[in-house]
Amino acid sequence: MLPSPVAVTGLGILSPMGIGRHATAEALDGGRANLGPPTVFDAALYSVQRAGEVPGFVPKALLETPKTYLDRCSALTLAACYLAVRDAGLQWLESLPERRSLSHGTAFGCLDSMMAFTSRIQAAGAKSASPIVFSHSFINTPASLAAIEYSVRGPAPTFASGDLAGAEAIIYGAHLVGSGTVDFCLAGGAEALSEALYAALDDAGRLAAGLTPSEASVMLVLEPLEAALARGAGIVAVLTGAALAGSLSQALTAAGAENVQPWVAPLDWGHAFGAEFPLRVATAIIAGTERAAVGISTQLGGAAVVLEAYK
Amino acid sequence: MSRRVVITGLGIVSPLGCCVGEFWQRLLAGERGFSRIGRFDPVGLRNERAGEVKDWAFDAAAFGLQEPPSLASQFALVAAAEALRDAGLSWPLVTAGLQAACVTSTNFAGADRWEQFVRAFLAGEPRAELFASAAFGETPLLMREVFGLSGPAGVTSIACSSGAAAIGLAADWVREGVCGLAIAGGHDCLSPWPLAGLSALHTITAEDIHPFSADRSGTLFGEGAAYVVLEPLDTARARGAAAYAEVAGWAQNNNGYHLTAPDPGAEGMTQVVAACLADAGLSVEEIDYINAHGTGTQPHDPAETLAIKQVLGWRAYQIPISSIKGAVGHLMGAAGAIEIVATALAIAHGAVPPTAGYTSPDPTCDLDYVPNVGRPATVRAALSISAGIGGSNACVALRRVE
Repeated sequence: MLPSPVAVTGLGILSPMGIGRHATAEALDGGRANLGPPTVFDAALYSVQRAGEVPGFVPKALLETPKTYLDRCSALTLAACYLAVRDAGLQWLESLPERRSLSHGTAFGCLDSMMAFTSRIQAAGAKSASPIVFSHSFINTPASLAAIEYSVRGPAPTFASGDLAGAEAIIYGAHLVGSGTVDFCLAGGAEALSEALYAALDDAGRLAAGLTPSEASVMLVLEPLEAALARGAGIVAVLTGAALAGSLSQALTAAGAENVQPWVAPLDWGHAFGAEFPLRVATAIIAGTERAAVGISTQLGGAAVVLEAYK
Repeated sequence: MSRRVVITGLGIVSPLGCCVGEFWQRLLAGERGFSRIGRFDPVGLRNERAGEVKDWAFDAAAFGLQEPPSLASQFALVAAAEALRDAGLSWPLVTAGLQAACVTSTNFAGADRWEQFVRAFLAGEPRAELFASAAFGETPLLMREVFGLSGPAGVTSIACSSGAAAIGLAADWVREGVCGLAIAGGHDCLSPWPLAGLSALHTITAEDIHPFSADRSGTLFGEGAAYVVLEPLDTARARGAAAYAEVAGWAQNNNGYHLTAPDPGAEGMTQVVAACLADAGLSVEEIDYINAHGTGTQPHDPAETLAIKQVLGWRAYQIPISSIKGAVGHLMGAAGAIEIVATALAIAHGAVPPTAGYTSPDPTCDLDYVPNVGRPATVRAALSISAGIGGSNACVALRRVE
């Protein structure tokens, strides 16, 4: 359970369903997501040509400030932050920087930058190493860039626990806010399509077995319900429970989700790994469910949150 | 639910030995674990010396594994197994009815396997098993399987503050009842990928590491793992387990300033130390020792010194402060964890480790850094400070258990 209810006052989403809440709502209504041959790399060599890609993603259109270099995972993260902060109508810079936090999850992080950096030093030696690409290849780079962009000086962790990563990020953020440790938290997760991941999944036979890898980025603006009401914020949902446990059933119980309808998305968006749980939470909110339990079961444990529409 | 959380087991794989006893003895003696890198060709790196774990042999079968995992996961499993044994626990933990969790941390995960994957990928023969072994999720998955953990598993990665954050987060999980016990810490291995990047950033010295000294010119990196067992004080007492120290509190934050440079006024580090003390409910008068991040880089050491002085005031001049990076190197994702282990040992054994490699005073680093030789000290409470690329900071407060 949470120490106190947490309001979701903003939502930034980029996924195979589109960019933003409106596009996502239309995709959910129409039951269609952008699943097909990836365009961010050439998949012709692989046994299957099917992935979930964010359609029409132009990073520079969704950044607060121009950037000279960004990994796709970082770009997706910054774009989701941009959309979430705007959605919240937040006077972000009026809050104390040390009372802002950011909690991010990703299973694989900046794979393209890792590949670019490593392949270069393997080909041309250590002295050819690029400091820029290296500093953008850390798994916590997306969160660090967002912390810089949005002057976050409170906690800004990255969770890298596979498919559980985004769930751990949201639950950690909800507890930070619910306990009164911070005033705001941008919480969510991101995963970018990358040829390295695609190639590994193909070699493992998982693409042929039907797995569709997808990219997605979701960030939620979380704040204490009372504070959100006091500032007249638009409340898109309320988190009343959030828990992590050894299994999904334990997490549902710990989150107070008994007798709560589980959220089942009405369409297939593929599998977004560390961003999968944030994507489920975001779609449950966008679909306008009255009360729903959103859960995930992974090899590292289970997680659940209980969402309610605010009336 | 809120419970007092204590450390009942410690485990170490380090350049100064692969068990806690050897590590502590050599650390106190002022030994240094650096040598020319032997596992791969270091030519082209800014420094060919590092803190390498020597004579490493991993018995996969002893952990019930068919094949050895990535080197960093090997380090982690060995350190975690030592910590569990040290806590008087045997595995699988699930059979003892313990809802045990793990929180691991790393900067580069299975870096050796990633480099092999890249070679195979570029040759047109990507291998799934190498990619899986390079993933950040490999170690916690193995820990769940090997040690029979039925609680959740987490991975935190906030660069060189990762190990401290993992232990802090796991302490929260135990305190709040998410799990009944947790294994927590960090691991990383030396490999060309991180060392080439850290060379390019000039974080690595071309000479030697001299934390807090006037002639410091950068850090040297090392490898290994450090894991601790955390459990509620009441259950530890009930089963007769001795506690090294209590995790009194912790904090993490971000400078929100720059990807690779520390903020010049040390605001982030100052705030994280102050927040840690507040979380722990400790006054500055109760702090008897600080295990500093102390990388030996030009910008970092004065900034950390300033942060300590800004929070502790006059008390900063009265207490010993040391960096163990001059002895073992900078263990990346394991750095915060091994430094917390050293801090717990300082409390338990009444001695503080030295800053090995210290040479000469710097006017901007004007505290007592315990130069080169450890010393006896009564430590009631202590802080372990960490900082990392991306502007991450973390601080953990430990307190003696009476």
